Amino acid sequence: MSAEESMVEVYIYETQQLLQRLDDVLLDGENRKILTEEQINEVFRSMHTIKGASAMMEFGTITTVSHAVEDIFSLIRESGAADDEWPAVFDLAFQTVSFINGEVAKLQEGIAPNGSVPELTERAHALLAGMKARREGGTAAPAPAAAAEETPNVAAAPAAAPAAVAEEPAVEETIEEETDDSIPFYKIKIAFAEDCQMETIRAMGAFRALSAIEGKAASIPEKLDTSETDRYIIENGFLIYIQTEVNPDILKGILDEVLFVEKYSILPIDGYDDEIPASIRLRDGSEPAVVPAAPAAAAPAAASVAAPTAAPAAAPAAAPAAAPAAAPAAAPKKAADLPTENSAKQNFISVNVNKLDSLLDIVGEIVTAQSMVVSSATLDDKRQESFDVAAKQLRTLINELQDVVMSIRMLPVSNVFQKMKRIVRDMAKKENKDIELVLLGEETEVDKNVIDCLSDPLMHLIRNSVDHGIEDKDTRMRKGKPAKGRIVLEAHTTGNDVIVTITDDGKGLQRDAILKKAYEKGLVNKAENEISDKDVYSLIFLPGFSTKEAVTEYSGRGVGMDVVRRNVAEVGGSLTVDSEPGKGTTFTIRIPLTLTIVDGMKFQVGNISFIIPTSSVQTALKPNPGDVFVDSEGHEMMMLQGNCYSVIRMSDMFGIENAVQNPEDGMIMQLHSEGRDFCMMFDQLDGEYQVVAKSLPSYLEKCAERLEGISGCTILGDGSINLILDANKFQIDV
Amino acid sequence: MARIMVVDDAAFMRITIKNMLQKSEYEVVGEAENGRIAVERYAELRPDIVTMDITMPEMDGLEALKAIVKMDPNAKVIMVSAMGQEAMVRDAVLSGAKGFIVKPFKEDGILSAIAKLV
Amino acid sequence: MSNELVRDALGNEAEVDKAEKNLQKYLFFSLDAVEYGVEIGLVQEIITLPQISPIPSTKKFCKGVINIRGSIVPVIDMRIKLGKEPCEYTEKTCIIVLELAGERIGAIVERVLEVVEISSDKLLESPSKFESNGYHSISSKILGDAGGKRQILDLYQVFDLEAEA
Repeated sequence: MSAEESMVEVYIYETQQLLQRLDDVLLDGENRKILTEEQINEVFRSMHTIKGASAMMEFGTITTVSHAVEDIFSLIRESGAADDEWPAVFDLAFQTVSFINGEVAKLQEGIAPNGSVPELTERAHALLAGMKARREGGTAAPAPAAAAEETPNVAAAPAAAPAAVAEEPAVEETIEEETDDSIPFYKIKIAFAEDCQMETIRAMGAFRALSAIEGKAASIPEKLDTSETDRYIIENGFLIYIQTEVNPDILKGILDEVLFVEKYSILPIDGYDDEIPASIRLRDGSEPAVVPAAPAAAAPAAASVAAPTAAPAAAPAAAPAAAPAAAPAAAPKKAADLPTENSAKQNFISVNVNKLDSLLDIVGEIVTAQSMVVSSATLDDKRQESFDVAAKQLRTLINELQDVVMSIRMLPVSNVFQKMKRIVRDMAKKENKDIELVLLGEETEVDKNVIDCLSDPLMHLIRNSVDHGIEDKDTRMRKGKPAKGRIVLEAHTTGNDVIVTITDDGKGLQRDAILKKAYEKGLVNKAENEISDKDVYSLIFLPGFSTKEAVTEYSGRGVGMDVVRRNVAEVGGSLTVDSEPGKGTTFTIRIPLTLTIVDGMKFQVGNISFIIPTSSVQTALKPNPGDVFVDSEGHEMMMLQGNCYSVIRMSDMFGIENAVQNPEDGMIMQLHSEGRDFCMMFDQLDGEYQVVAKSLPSYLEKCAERLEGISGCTILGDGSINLILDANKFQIDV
Repeated sequence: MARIMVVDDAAFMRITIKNMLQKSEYEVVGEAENGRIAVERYAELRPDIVTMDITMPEMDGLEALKAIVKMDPNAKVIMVSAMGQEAMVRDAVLSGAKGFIVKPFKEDGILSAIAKLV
Repeated sequence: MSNELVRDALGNEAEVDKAEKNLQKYLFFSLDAVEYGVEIGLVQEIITLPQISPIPSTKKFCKGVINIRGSIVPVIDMRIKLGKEPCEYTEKTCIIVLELAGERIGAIVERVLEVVEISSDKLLESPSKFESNGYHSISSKILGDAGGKRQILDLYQVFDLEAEA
């Protein structure tokens, strides 16, 4: 990856982190209708950082909008914000965050950020102007407010003044001393580099550096304490007149170290020359050297004039704000008594996901290799024992390694969950509904892949709940429900899978409406009374189904539930729905944790080898004649420990020829599955293996008739490829 | 080759500056994300030149500059400032910063600045 | 040797004037008396027949999957796919590993012949889309030296895949 590419990557990563944090802070603040001082500072700094980085990358759109918000928060930092100003501030901040997110998303796709900014920036400027006007509308307030802004400046000025005064003593002294016309004068002209910014300060720095040497110096322009002289210096250059005995090479040396000097010249000049400022010019004694004193006096005077206002301005930064309406009534509220968010500094590094994938692959191969080594070792008894001990230790270590590597890829779902808060807020606002989003089990960890794939489906489902599920306030009140709708987003793991549920307390699914639509579209051919409620609800996942004629902006055109289900299926997950009419709806997403390493039993059916995860196997046995019988409907069954189980023939299920036909000649495995336990008949057992699960190439879907029940495949140490079964995916008709 | 320490709270800025410097074969011997760490690292590393961002959490660039100059009066620190930070830049220059560069800047800007101080 | 064919073919980038003449390189393999060509850009590599792991309930033309350096690739018998009677594999039988529409597919062929550069004006539409067992396979035919013996396969049609945008 080139340096440029990695810079963009870092930019994207950092900016997204900042934006996520901003969303969190703003949401917290909006809920309380105010931001704490710490939060204000955080927003300000974040926008400042984003602006800086974006400017470096020349992303103009992002720079502009972040700058606008930075300015607003800069104002709020100094003079607080009134209760009635916060809503507009929050709205603008949220919109800006959304906008920048959109631009960054484009960057991720390799597209330039080219969003339209005028509307957003106009609004920001209008807001800022309004807020400023309000503050200046006060009486004495404006002055102190202005002074407050300048406090740093003022603090600097006194520092500058003494410095100026320090520089001036050389001048004042000459008033009394005899002028020495034997010491050479030089005229130094400095041109600064184009666009180097803050030319006056650079000039001041240069002057200061030169003043450090023995001699006297004066500059044109003389006063260098404001940026007003920037323009002048850009156009006319900066002049320093210096009288010194020191070798001009030394002057050169000093000037060479001044940054952003485009060019300079050092020319000897006659000490009596008119163009030399009076403060150091040689005189023939007739002119009173009063002039120098004035600037010297003026500077400290200016300083002392500023200083007194500095004090009152500094004291209650709240005070200037005090005038503009109730603004700083807000200020005290900024105080630390408001609970601030927990910003625990954590020790994290960011790792390129590709490196993790490589690591995972290698660990996978180690597992396979270890498995093959152990299963192919045949030693005499003596050595077998010590071998077994060593093998066991190796296996333990590898398991640990596997666990750690897996855990590196695991991220808490809170990353995705928190994003939903923003979505609920925006949508609820737009639809004028009052909705609370409750997050449970945020700390549940899930593979990074899964997190990436969960984001979109969750968004659609939540939007669906807000849009179609939760009723508006009036309707809810009439139904005796609390005016505030509630959506609960919860995640938990069950060892093998992670389960995410989205439950709303809205109006629930309408069985009749769904059925009607389904019949209309020819999606169902069973009689009404033959379909259970749950099955009716599942109809919404069929492609081409939608009970809402008017597709709202958020539900998206043509993005139906079938697409959501497909997205979930892409990560090997499943999506189901249940509902209670009038009470609410629950969507359940089940996604297998990407446990790419499976402990399994290898077995044979015909010429095909399979692996079934050991966790699904209850027991394996060789049936006796008559153990497997046929029930009244022609299904094969078997009794095990007092319970009756269906028997599925693997050879039938997958159409495998040359498999054992007689149960006594083969074997039975009792398998545990989500639905119910059942028995599976196969030819023979090959042993226990630890394997790395890979997904089946998708092209196989076009080649095979029945691939249900197969969750993946694995490459064994001998190079052969075995299919991995998922007992939960077996279709059992009973 | 000159040894340089890069100080900025934004990883993005640190990487950007680092890339620019390393392309010209300067040695970036250390980084710091706030003023406090900058001062500590300076003591350890004694770099030839420091690029110092002004706004940082915990301790800002100005304070760090002053501490560093106190520790080492010959320290060469270049402040990295944003627009609108005149007062702080001025203070920095008066406190011993060798100069400053204003964001956003291009590669040749910072390289020319460093070259002058090497 | 076969891979050298591919490497060599891929190594020479099309020059500007070649592009103007619409020259394309094709890898030819034989099935019975007919020689089929596939665009060289879709060919990843050519390998000898490795161990094939069977997949249950596959259609006849899919023989199973193979392991190529840790990746699992389905293999298709091209004779069966193109509607001919299956044949015993010989030591000349090999697999052309194709990559199209983001999928990797191994095509089992009897013999790999050569890589030929052909300009598009030499290609003619075949009189009727050859349909056998429901597969549309041919897109155009070469005239001239081939005399109808050489045909270009439209792989997307053969494998029923959609070319990525």
